Amino acid sequence: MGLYRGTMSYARFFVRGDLPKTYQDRFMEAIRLRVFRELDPAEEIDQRAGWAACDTPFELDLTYDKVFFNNYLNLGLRIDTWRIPRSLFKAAFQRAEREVLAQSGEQKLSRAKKKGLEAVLKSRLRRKVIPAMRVFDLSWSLEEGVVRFFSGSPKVQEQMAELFEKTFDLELVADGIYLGAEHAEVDAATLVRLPKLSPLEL
Amino acid sequence: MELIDRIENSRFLSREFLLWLWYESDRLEGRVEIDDDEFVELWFEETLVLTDASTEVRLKAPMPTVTPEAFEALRQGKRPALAKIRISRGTQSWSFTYKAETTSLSGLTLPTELKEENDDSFFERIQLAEQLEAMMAQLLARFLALRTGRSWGRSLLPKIQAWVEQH
Repeated sequence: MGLYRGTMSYARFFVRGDLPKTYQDRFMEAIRLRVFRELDPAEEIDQRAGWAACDTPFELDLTYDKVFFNNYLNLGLRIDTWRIPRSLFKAAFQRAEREVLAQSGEQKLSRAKKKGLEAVLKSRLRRKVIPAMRVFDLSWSLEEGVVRFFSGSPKVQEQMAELFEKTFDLELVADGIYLGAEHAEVDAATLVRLPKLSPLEL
Repeated sequence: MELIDRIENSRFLSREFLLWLWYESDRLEGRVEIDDDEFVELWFEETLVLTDASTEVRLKAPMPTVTPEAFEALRQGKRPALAKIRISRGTQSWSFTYKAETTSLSGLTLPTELKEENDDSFFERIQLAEQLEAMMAQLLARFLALRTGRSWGRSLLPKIQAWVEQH
C-alpha cells in the first residue's frame, strides 16, 4: 500500500517556508546525517528511526539518484524496534531473580535492583532476536511543497514530521480543510471568513 | 489569528464538505460540477461513517447515502466523517476512502497502472493521485465559495435542510 504498488493510502503534509536556493547538496548531506542506523543490542534504546531508500529499506547508502526523481524527493522512513516476546522475558526474569536472591540471601529485590536486572536481561535477550522492521514511503513534491506520507498512524506521522523537520529545517503541517483551501488557491477573502463560520444546523 | 487557530476553527468544515458532496451527488444523480462546465461522476459507495462528539453510526451498504439510517443520523446532529467515494472523469475512475478531518485518502485505487515497478510506474501513479487531489481541490474551492457566500443562508442551506427532512 505504497508509492510503487497496490492501493495507495496516505496523508498529506504541507511544507511551510521556501526551499534553500541550492538545496540538493544540502539536503543530501542532511539526509545522510539522519540515515537509518541499525539497532545495537548493547544500546539502551528500544527503537530507532531514520531514512532509507524508498521501497528498498536495506539500502542505506543514499545517493542523489536514489532520492531525487525529477521534482520529487522520495525516502523511506524506517523504524526498527526490539520486540522481545513477553513470555520469554517473564520466564528469563523469574529465573534470574531467583538466582540473584539465592546468591544474596535477600527475600525480595528492591525496585532499583529489579530495574537493573531488567536492563541486563533485555540486553542479553536482544542478542537472540532480530528487530521488527517497519518502513513507510514518503514522497515530497518539491515544487508543490506537498509531502505524501504513506501511514495513517498519528504516532508514526509524528515521528516522521519530527525527523523531517530536523533533517530539512523546514516546518511540516498536516493537511486539513484550512490548509487544503490555501493549497487550492481559494481567494484571500474566503480564507479570512473560514475560521469565523459556525457549524450548520439541519 | 494564528495559523493553528485558523486551522482548528475551520476544522468542522471538513465534515460539511463531505455532506455537501453527498447532497450534490444525490441532487445531480452523480454528475457533479467541478469547474465551469466541467463535470465528474461522484458516487458514495459501501462505507459511510457519521459522528457527533460522542457517538458514531457506521453504515455498510452498496449505496449507504440513500439509507434511512444515514438521514436519521443527520437529523440527530451527526455529520459524515468518513466515506468511500468513486470519482469518474471520462474513462478514468478513482475509488478511495476519504477521512474528512485529516482529508486523508486510503485504499486509493487508480484508473490505470503500468505493470512494471520502476521509476515510470512511480511517475504515473503519483500523477494519477495528483489528478484526483486536483479534482478534490476544485470541489473544495466550490464548496467554500458557496459556504462563505451570501446565498448560503438564504438559498442553499434551506434546500439542504429540506433534503434532509424529506428523506
